[in-house]
Amino acid sequence: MAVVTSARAVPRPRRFDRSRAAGVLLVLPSLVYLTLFVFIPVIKAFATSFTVRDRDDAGNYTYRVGLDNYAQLATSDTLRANVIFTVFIAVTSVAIVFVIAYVIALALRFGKGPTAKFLGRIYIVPLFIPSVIASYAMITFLANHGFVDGILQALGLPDGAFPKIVFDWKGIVITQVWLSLPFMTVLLSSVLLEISDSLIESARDVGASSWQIFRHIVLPLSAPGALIGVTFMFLGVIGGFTVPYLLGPNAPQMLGVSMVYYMTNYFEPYIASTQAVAIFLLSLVAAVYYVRQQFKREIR
Amino acid sequence: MAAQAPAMPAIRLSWWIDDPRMRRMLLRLFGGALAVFIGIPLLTLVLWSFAGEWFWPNLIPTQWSLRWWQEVLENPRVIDAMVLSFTIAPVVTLLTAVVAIPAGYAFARLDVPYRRTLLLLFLIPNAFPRIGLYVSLAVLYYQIGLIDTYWGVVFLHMIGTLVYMTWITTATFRSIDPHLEEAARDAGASPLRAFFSVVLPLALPGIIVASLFSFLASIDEAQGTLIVGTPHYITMPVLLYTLISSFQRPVAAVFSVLLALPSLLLLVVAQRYLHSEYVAAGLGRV
Repeated sequence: MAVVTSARAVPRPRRFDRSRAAGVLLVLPSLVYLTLFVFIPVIKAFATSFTVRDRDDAGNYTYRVGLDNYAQLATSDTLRANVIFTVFIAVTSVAIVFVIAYVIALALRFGKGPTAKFLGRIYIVPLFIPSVIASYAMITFLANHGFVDGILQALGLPDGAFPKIVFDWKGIVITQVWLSLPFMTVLLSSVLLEISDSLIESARDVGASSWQIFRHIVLPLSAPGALIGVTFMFLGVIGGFTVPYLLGPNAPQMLGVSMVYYMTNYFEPYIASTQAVAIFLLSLVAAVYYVRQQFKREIR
Repeated sequence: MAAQAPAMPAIRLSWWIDDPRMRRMLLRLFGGALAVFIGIPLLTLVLWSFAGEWFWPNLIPTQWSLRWWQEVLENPRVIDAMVLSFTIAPVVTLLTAVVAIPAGYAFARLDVPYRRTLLLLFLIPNAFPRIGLYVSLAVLYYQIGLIDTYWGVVFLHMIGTLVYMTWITTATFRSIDPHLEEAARDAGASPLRAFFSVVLPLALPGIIVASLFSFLASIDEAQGTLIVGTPHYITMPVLLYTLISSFQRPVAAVFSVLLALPSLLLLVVAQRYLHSEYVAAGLGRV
């Protein structure tokens, strides 16, 4: 979670002699909660993914430890396609959001006119729309015989020429972009605010063009903070369910959707857990980077 | 003697950035496109909710009607889902506050042992892709009998809200001058009294914002609730899944507008009060 705090080192009140004991006591409830509902489930998911369920001729189940679930994930064409599809969607949506959000953030940081003000008001709206509603809005908007199709029709596009966007990867990406825009923009804006005006003015004084300022000052200075946003959104898209469930194709599916189907429709918690572990592993690099950077920001 | 080649004027692809008029025009174009992209899908939804008759390719309904609203508001399943959503959200918010505010205070002010490690642990839930976490939790719920129960849903909602509220309250408590509390203690107030009559009132805005977001996050949580709450604990967004999948377009549209109202109300309030950092952090509910 990208809480950008201006954490100054606060002088600790010495008064609390029993400070350490009190600290432990106050943190304990949340720690117990996190252990029970986050850490143990994750550890159990790892364990479950190595559990293989066999059915003998009499119809009884026997359980053993093995790598069969992973073998199935690796060899099944469907499951492998799902993994690739998930990564593809995540990378594509993050890249698109990043570019659009960067433009908005630049306008908010350096623009002064009414357009910048207007942008500042509208980009935040999707933040307040639940993802189920956003997905549905996008379906009515982009479906064949939807709103956009209707407009293109009025402009003379022949019926049926509208591309398939909903129930296709394009629908997922567009909706993810819509939903994630505020987060990325807020984050990039706060990063751009940390770049001092004087630095930019001095560059301008020595004759740098706006492009050079962007390329050699703004972009490099904003990169570390921007990467936090990129990794966080990547984690969000990879672990998403609602958007691909409502707007995605039947095949290939994103891992979130396929996992839930294995869990609730096929009653295969073993394969579902294996996919959960796969999702954790796929996002490991992003997750480690996110935690480290965010940790640095918080501790500072 | 090699003739000095005349310096070719470099063709600059970025000339438009340096031209203020061009830049302004492009920005306006961009702003317009963004407004359409963000606004029109939502507007279509509102139109659908009031559509009596809307045959494609008409761009607006040919007949207006409130009958879908009536149908939705009289549907017992809808009422049940609303009641359930609004009984889960306050409980989630309250439990989260009770657990997270002390932790936030401790992280901000007290000498918690292994503070760095603990803070790291608090970041971890965000580092796991949510759906993976929910499915793992559902597997556990099956084994311990929490699947399809009220508390199972509440505890699942708390994953997102707890971490968020801990971070926000930590930041809030940090921003309060510790000398105020010390002064209260010097004047003879007990630690509890100093906390409740000095620190807490000052921290209240941050806590209220965090609570509002927790409330909304709980109201809007769909994917996890679908996994651990079906078939008996159908909250509003979970019901919306069903409505969308059953292709009852106007009904789903009405329900969407209804479900978006609490959040949009907050948006109006938020534009004035909220620090963008809080808003950014609220996006734990991507």
